[in-house]
Amino acid sequence: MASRLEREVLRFIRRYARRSAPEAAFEALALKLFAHQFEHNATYQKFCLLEGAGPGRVKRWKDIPAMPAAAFKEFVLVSFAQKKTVKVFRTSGTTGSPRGAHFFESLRLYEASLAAAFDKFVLPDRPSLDWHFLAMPPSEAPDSSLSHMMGVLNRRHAMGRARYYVTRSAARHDLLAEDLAAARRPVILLATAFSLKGFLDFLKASGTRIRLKRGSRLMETGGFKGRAREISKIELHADCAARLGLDERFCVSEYGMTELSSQFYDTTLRDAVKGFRRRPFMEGPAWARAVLADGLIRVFDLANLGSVMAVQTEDTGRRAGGGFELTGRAEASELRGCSLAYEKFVAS
Amino acid sequence: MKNLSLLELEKTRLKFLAGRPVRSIARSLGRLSLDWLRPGDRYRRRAIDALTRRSGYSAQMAESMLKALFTELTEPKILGVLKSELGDPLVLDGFRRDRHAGVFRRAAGPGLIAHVFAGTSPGAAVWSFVFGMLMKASNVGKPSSRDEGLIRIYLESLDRRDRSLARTNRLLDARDRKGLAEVMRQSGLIVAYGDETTLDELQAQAPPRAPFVRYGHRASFSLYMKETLSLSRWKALARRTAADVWAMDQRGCLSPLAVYVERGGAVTPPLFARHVAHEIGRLPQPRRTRSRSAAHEIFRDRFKLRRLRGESALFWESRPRGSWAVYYDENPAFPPEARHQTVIVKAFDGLADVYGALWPFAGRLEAAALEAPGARRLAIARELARLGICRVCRAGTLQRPPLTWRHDGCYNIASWVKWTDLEV
Repeated sequence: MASRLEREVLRFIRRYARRSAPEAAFEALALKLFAHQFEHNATYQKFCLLEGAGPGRVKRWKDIPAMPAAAFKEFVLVSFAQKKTVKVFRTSGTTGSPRGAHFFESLRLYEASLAAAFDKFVLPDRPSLDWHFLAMPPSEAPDSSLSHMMGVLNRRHAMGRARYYVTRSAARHDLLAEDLAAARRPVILLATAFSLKGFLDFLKASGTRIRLKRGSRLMETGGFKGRAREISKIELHADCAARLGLDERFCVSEYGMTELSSQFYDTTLRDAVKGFRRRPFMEGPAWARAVLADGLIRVFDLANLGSVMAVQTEDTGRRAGGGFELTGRAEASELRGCSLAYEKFVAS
Repeated sequence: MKNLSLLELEKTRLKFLAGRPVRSIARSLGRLSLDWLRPGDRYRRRAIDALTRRSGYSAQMAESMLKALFTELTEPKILGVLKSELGDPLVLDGFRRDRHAGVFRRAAGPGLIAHVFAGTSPGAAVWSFVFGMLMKASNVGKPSSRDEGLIRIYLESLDRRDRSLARTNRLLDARDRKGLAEVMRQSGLIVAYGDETTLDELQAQAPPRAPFVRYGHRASFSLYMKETLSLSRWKALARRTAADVWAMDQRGCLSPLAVYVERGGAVTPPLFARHVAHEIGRLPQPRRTRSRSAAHEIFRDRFKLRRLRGESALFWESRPRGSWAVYYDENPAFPPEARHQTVIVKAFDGLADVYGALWPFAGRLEAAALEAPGARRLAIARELARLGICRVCRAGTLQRPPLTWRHDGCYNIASWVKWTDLEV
């Protein structure tokens, strides 16, 4: 059953890799997935029943009950027999708190989804690039979905020749700076917002400026999860322009979560390449849709076949263009009084 | 305040305030409070407007807050608190005989008090300045950057009523750290409000020998024994509970984050919780905001997960979501994460469970609304006192502390003054 559904989702991914999918097609497949997950994922089924929702009663994809992302920390959310697990990705998590776990029966959908979306939003002009990853290689971080993603991209686009600049003990900013300065072709740099900040600080401290070739680009991710966005995206990209000579329109933010199989991207690079004049926003591939529920981002990701398709995040956003833009974590913007704050109590 | 001259301020104080009888100050402040209690008063209207715009209260919340504040600041109440704390208010004017000690005594406030306000607890700022004026001190306050402006409007209204008294009070700009440091260096007392981290930082900056009085963030709760959930009283109790939750938008240190309800009453705890929800739903709620809705959504999702874990958990919420929510569970754990009109009703069987759940918070608990039959009420209050709770009150009055209440368990005026004994 799963493999038939898997083939169906794969077909969907291939068909709509570069164009948008009609509402009816997305809805039909979403409802099929919902019925499948309701039947095979006991925890999710219980969650739906508590919500008063079941396959018969839910008619629209938007009404499919969304599992809070926090549930990945305490439940094994699988829609297959757990012993068939081939891969587990774990959230980074702060020390002491439990880490969320995302189980996979197969990585076919995950990899097809990430490759297609990456091509659409980061490589729409199909350039030939030198690949640099400011992250640990998958061999050293087997449970990191980001490292795994880099591994897949390395295989697909760089023939395994991409370089990783983070080891368990250190980030090799000096090596990365050297390699970028010596690059003869346009490069692509993938990094988390935090590691990128570290690299830019290193360049600033050593007074280095690099002029990357035209067409060079950046994909940065994170900066949100587990903490308030301490790094301003605009500042980060402006620094990249100043220190690396990157075109700011070629600096793409990615929004992804360990709990999902698909990622969302800034449309900035795609717009620049295609000549669209509009304010960039966050958009996902045709098989992953985000809606705003009370100001929080809720994702419906058809590639999440083996776990739960509908996931409720704790990230706040607002509608923008044909998608959304991130505004941060909910807790940060609350009005406070003199009542004892929970975080403060936990911290002390 | 630009060009703040502390010397100038001290001169003004010596000229207008130092020799003024305390009764005259009390009378003037009391009259001002009566102005504020008149619905048409223009300062009051401005304050309500500021509170709704900047603090996210509803207009009715702001009104009820101002009413609770200024009812306590009338002349008789002010004299009452002076009597309660000092015995004889006139010790602030000169030596008075202390019958018990057989000596003459006089109390004097410091010449200058630095007040540092934090977050959104508007009433505290007014109390703080009033206490300062009563002990004939100059007051310089630094509002927080998220200040709603009540203290500023209050001082303007005082300026109109009693120019000379108003002239001994100043407000700094919220960002004026340099000015604050200067005032702290010169003042004989520093009074600070805020969370413990902020207070620690501030205390580290204060001159080592200046007395530093700190009012940290605290949490409160309600505790109802089964006898008080009788058929004739439970609905009124639910209504008063709703008022406690509603009044400060569940943001104040006196807001009940949890309502502990003993099982075995005429009404079951879940039914009681449902009625609390019903009563909160009838009260005028503030505007929903994106961050508020999101906070509610996250809280609700965490609760759903607890249900998924098999815990007994129910909730009722506003439609559309985001202005209030009442939760019910059977886990006695104290929930400091509840806020923004979110309250958790918790069923319990034995008081030991409740005390056990509160114990980790000992020293950070402010008040308890306790409803229990007479003799039991006293016994329970004794236990609550051991937890460091400094106010045990009735349901429905949590947000209306009397002026005589010893905030954070300490004297207000009496701990701010210095005494001189004259032996015969």
